[in-house]
Amino acid sequence: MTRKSLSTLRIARLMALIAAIGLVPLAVGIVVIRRSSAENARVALDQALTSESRDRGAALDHYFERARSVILLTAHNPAFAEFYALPGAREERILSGGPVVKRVERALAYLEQLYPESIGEACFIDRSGSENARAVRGEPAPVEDLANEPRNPFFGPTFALRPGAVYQAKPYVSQDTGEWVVSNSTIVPTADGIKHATVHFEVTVESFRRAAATSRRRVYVVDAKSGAVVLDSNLPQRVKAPLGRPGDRRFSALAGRTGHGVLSLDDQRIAYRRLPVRQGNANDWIVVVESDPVAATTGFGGTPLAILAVGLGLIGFGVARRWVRLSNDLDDRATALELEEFERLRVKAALAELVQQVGRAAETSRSERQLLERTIGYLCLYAGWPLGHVFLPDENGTLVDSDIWHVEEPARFRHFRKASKGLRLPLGEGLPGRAAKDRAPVWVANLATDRFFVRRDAARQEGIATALAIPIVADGELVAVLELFTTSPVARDKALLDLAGALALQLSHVIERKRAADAAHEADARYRRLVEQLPLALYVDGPSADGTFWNGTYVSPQIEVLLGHTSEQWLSMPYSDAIHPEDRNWVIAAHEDVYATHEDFDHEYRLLHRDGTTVWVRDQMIFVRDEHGKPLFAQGYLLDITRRKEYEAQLDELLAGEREQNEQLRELDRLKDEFVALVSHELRTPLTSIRGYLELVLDGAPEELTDEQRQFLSVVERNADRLQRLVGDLLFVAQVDAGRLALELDHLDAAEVGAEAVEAARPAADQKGLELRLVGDPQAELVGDRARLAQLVDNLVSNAIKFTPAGGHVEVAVRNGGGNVTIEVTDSGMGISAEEQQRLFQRFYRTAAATSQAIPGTGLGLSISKAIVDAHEGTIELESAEGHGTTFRITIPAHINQIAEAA
Amino acid sequence: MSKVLVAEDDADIRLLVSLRLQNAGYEVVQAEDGQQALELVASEHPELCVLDVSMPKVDGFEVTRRIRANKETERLPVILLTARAQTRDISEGLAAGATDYVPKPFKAEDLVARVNAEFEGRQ
Repeated sequence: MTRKSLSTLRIARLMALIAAIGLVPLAVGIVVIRRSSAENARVALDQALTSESRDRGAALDHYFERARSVILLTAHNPAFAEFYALPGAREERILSGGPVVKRVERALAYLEQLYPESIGEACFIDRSGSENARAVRGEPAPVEDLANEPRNPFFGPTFALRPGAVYQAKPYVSQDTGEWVVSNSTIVPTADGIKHATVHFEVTVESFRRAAATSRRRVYVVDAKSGAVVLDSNLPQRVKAPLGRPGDRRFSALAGRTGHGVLSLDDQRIAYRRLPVRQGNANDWIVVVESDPVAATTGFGGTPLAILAVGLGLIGFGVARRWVRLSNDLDDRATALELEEFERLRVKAALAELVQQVGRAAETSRSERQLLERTIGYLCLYAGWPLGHVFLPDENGTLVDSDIWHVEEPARFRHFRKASKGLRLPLGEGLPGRAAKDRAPVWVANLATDRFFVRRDAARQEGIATALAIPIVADGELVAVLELFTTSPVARDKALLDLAGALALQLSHVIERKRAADAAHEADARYRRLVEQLPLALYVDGPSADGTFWNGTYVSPQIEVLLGHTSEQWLSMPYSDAIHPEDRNWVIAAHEDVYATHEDFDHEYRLLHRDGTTVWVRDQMIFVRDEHGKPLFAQGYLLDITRRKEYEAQLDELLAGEREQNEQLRELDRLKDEFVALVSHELRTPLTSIRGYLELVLDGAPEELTDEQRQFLSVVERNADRLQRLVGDLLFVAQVDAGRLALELDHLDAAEVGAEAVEAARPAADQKGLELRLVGDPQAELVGDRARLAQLVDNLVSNAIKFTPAGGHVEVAVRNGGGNVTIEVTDSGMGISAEEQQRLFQRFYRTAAATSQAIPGTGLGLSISKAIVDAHEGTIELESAEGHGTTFRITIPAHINQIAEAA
Repeated sequence: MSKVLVAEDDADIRLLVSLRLQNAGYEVVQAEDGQQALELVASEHPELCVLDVSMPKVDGFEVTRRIRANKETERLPVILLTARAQTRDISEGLAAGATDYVPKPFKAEDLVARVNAEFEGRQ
């Protein structure tokens, strides 16, 4: 910064101080400095702030950038508070400690020291609206209460310090211009209820009138509606239009526009800037002519300081260049220190505003890219650097040109931008690469000498001198690198670097928040998709005034798959209409029940599809309650169970069929039992007769029968016996099958049973020429059915005799041990093949040998034997080798103790 | 000569049993059913009864019970012929007051032996 703008800096300094005084808690400070240059600057600022630009920050920035003069305003903004609180040690001392009025006095004294020619007046107004401190330097201004003066649209109830009201300081006459000056304060309420003041300085239109009168063709006041030039001493000559009449149509055209531009006036092109001016006629515009070659040579020689200041405040840098030459004498009083301090403060203020702007941008930006685009723009505006650019990292960390640019003037830096296009810089390379690697801002004061700057040639060509790169890191990950360029060589500026660092931090917070919010949104969307994919219709039913929850508020789109209605259709139709008529009454009643009890609901019933078909659903619903247990709403789901119901119906049918079949089987079984019982009975009676009469004949006198007759009759007798055994076996089997094999348990000696069986079989063995012997223990006690066990052993022994050829032997062994009784019947017969052993205990099974050799038997003996063993909880097994013989081994638990106890 | 009543609805069996008992030296009175058996017990005063269990009109159990119920015949020995050699039938028969039982099918000589044993035991 050069000495050019030191005068305005001083003004700024002053304003900072003013605002600092205003910061005193519970008080609103208004300091009026009767210095028209300051006031005029303030007007410009004020106008900038009330300009049509929606972005107040940008207007402020614009002002800072050009006018270099001033500051201020909402005292309780924390960001600005910081700014004001740290103007320097001296100010701090001045502004802190002691009664308010003392502080005000000290402030004024300081102001006088800084600006000896100024006249200061300051007062504090506390919250009640009463003035509690006043200090005046110099001549007290003549005061005229303009509270009721309708001319000023900003006039509010005088001295009423309430939100929205305007506090107007007592008007005074400017010493420099001799005109009336009015200062206003607007009370602005804040969310936390703290009142604070926005300070306005306002210049009467008279000052413009004066300024215009002496400035030759600098300032015109134009009636915006008519286009009439209200005020300009030189204009009539220029535009050939009389003052106060409808003027040149070109001014008329201006009235509808905003901002600034270039206007052709006769043969001259003049730049203009249009500013609204606040006065009685709100439609007036000030048109500031910003270039006038004639004026440059002749205009400013004897112009009063006030007009220069008007020029500065309103016109900005275009005229300021000329004006600066003339105001150097004013700058002499400023020190380098003040300059530095001001710059620092300016940056802090800028930062605060910038941080706010970035925060706002984060809320309104649709994407990170847009946010970065805005941020680089703000940053350039604040730093006053004309060029900004953004690099974005790819997945490998390589920095890639994003094509996000901020260019102050669209036509500039084309070459450099072209050189940056598509540029890819690995981590650590180039300016952005270094910033990314260090994760800290990188400042290159002189690009021309920086060997690592890749785009050095292009930069030199464009006159780019200084660069600043700022990495943005969010969640520990590099998000972007912002780079800023300016054409004048700027030494490493700590304030700007701090600003950049703070901005980077703010931006990273913003991005982190945004990403978290996006993630939450995405999670929510995922959850919703999941919910809507579920093969069930989820619903939420809201409460009604009568305590029911028939009021459906949500149903997932799955309802359409389930019932053919869209969610909207479903929610708009009465639920009862959808219930199958046969289920309607009880389902409604069941709902009403839970609406009363607030218990969980879980039922299966039928709904009607839109096409009229029946849909079985499971409807499960619970109540969601508040912290007091009061149900807020009901939620649940409808699950299509139609297919399950169909399966169930089929299953029921199958089961019914099976039951019927079982019934039939049982009936058959019963008939069989009956049949067997009948047969056994009906067969026995004739058998008894046959045998009885045979015996009668055979027992008769020997001479009554011939030998041949006697032989025939014994064949009849043998077959009758066989038939009788068969009937007996069948009856036994029938009893076993019917579960009616009842044992008559008793203590018995198995050795004795064995002996008896051997004795009974001895005639048959002798007849066949077999050796039959009994071995084993002399006694083998057990608990069992004597008759059945005898039958068992008889069976086995008679089998053994039947299947053992003459000359062989049969051995019965009864043994006692280990809590069991073992009975073995061993023969030296033909043996049984392994294959046949498997089927041996099957009913009616007869071995091939038995059949081929016509060995008599029913095929029931072994199955009966097994049934008897089973009834005694024993086992029967056999060992057999074909051609060598067979051993049947029966093992029966003795159960001696058991029966002894029972007895 | 001791008089024995044989009550059996099957004529073949009745004749067979009767012949056997006659061969063994008994005088036999035959009844075709339970009702007739009771009448003959009253009129012929047999010293022993052989009763088939399953008979028309009045079955063997019932005949036994009535014999026992009558003071004059309460000590008359009764041997039951039972087709169902089952515990339940036997126990019912014994409960009704039968002296002994012979399960069908029986060998005639076994029955004669039981009858002999009954008379021998009394002597």
